[in-house]
Amino acid sequence: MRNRIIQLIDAAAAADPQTVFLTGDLGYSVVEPLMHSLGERFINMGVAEANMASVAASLAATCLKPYAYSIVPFITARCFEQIRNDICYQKRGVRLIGVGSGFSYGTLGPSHHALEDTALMASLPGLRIVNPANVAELDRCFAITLEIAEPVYFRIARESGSAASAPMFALDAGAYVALPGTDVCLIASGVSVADCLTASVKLAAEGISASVVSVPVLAPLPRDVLLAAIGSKPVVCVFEGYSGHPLEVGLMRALLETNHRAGFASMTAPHRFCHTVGSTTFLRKEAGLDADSIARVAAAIARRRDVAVRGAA
Amino acid sequence: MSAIAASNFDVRAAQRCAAARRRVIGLSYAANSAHLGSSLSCIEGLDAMYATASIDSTNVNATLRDRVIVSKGHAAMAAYAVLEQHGLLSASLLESYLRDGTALWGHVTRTDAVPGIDASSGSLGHGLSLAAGYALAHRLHNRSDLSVRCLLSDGECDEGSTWEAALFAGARKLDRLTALVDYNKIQSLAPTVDVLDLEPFADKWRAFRWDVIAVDGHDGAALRDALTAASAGKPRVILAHTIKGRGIPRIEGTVASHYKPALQSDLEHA
Repeated sequence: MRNRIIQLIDAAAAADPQTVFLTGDLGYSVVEPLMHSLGERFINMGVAEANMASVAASLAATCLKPYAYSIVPFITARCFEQIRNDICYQKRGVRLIGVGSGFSYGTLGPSHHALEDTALMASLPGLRIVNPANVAELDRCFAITLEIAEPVYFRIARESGSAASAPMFALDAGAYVALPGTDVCLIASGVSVADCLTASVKLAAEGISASVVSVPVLAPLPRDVLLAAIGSKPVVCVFEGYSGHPLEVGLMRALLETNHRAGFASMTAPHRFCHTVGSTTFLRKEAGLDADSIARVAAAIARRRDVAVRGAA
Repeated sequence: MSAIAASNFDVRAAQRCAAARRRVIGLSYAANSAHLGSSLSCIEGLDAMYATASIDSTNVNATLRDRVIVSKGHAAMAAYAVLEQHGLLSASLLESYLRDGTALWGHVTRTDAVPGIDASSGSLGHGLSLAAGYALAHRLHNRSDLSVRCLLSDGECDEGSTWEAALFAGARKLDRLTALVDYNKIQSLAPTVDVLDLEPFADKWRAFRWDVIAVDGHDGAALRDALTAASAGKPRVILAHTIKGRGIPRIEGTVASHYKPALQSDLEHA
């Protein structure tokens, strides 16, 4: 998906000369096409993300359309106050591109993991958060954000994501039913959607019909779309991040406010730093966020049984 | 500028600064507002920045125009008072300073009510990056005629982000960017020399590829000359040597002037 968002920015820049691309000295083998096509509008800001965020804010203030690119922790936590004060408070239409959602950067270590970023960014009023599960979602969400003035945070996995795609119109709602089902509703965002779809096949073999809802827009959370998709089904929320992420918080609030009593489980990464080296796949399984774990939890919820979820520990 | 024109400019500047200083002392007393000393040290610097920029009621809402970024946002009273002198903030609005339900916070904050405020500050170390961003934007818009000025406190030169911006502006040769450091040598809790000691301050900026001019920061003519000096082909910093609390002898040069509001007896200096 990294290459895809660069292609999208390239196309946007071709159509709109106000487009500017800033990178915090990252993107080797990915951003080079932009370097050639944008010329002076491609700017390597150096390893200085705080400055990059504030500079982007002022570019946006003069009606330029800046994209600021780095690995997730460096474009979120590292420069959080610049995003808060200079971009969000002052309503500057900056696009923050964070690469490497969740455990995407596996063996590079906890400095590169992105487990708290969505909670952090969702705490900021007025910031739209896009966390696509696949290229189709990215394409549509990117197209929509071309038309809006507010700041946007794109959280991009390194992986290509699930193969399942959605009708374009459904994506405009911020969430959509990727797979219909009747017994349990799996709600996920980003890379976890693919694992939910895999889990649904396992569940079907056990006679459980699982619905899978993909939520590419985490803020503002499409609450009503989610409630309509859930109906009276029990819910399993799956997200590659710590508990407290905006999908979990928003869902819990919506379900409590609507007196939903059919059951709820939230599968998140355990609230700890990783101290054991592992690949993305290894870390995801260790966190209990792989398809087998999702199927196990969903089966228990569907059968109205209590279930131990690792992320809650 | 001819000698006569310069003289008239300086007389008017002195009048504006005297009025702004009176206003700041009055605001601090009326609103029981802190940051009196920080405001009184930068009045001449702020006035010179606005006086040498092309910002007035006819273009203040334009997307592309000269910019003044007040990065030391705690000098809000000074910024507001100088904006008033330049016809960019009404007396009635200014008199609402810090009152519940109004628009003027205790740190410089963008508001639709005052389009002349180009950036919200208050957290130190943001403004030079914002100013560099405007300078870069003007270059990308092919508007090299536009200038950007940024008022920094000396204390905020402790911030790493200030030096990120300095490195960036120097490397990119943003020669339409001028930073003015209100070098009053007293930061929030102690003299700068006792905290992180900025000296050799000019050398630091030069090492970051900035042109450096040092002036008496209460000398309007010197400030005007520095702000209008010919381009050196790189960003410029004006180290404005100032006195914290300038104008109220009992607080001049004190740490307490950062916090203590004006007293009724201070109004006689206004």
